[in-house]
Amino acid sequence: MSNQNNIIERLTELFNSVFEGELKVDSLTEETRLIEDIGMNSIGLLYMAMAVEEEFGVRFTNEDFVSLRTIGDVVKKIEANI
Amino acid sequence: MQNKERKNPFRFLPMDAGRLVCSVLMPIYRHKRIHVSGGKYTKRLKGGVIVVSNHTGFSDPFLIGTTFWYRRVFFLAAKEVMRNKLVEVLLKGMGCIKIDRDISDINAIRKCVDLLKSGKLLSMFPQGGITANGEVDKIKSGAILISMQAGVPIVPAYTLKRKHWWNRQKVVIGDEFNCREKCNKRFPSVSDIAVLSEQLLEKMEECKKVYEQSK
Repeated sequence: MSNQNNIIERLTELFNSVFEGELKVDSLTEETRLIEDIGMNSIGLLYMAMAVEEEFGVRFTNEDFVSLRTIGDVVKKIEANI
Repeated sequence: MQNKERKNPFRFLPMDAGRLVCSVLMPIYRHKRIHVSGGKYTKRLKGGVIVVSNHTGFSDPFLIGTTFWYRRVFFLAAKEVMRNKLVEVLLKGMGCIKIDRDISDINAIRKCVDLLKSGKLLSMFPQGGITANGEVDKIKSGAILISMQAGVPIVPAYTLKRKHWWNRQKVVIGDEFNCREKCNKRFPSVSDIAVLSEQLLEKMEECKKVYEQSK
């Protein structure tokens, strides 16, 4: 659980630097939805994925994008690659 | 990309055959390459680089390909263009990378980044579709994103369809636009990319002005 919290903290920091207040990324939880709650569009998802890849060394595929709905899904993807 | 090339040296045979045909035709029917300063463009691009151009029709990839005839030029092609397997094999052989514009096609973006990192030349039409009248009023941010990821410069270009087939084709080519020099952040923000896209658009507009002034 603490590992998950640690990842969410790093994601919050990362999203803050990438989206610079343009999206609502202040209080991320596992349940936070990427599109509905944060307000990401398709380009936003792409930026997010590229930044996460750079920060955590994971590789997203087009198939991942279909299943990525929440921050929890991103955390699971990161954990699966650690 | 390099590994695949090693496995199949004939992978880009259609592109190389096209370049061979063009190399014969070029001395007879070559187009003007104009630098954005107004003079003749003589520079030869080296290493990984993205060439962005306006898109007035399906002949543009051939025009860009012959402008940089001394190198293999790769393109992004919408999946709709590759309507059957035969066309797909042929276009891929001509250096096209399939992109699905309906989704965030990270696979295609990664292919482009890998290609550029291996020192290849990628050509993109950042308006995202054909604008037959040659207007360059807005561009998408994909070229900037790929350039930042790959750490390669972007070269803007501008061209229009000829009025008559016997007219000489013109292409105006700008100077290298280096995104990493303009924004050295590890994670460029969305607004950084928007600012860089605006700057790139201005460079393309400069090329357009020179094109209109040139004879």
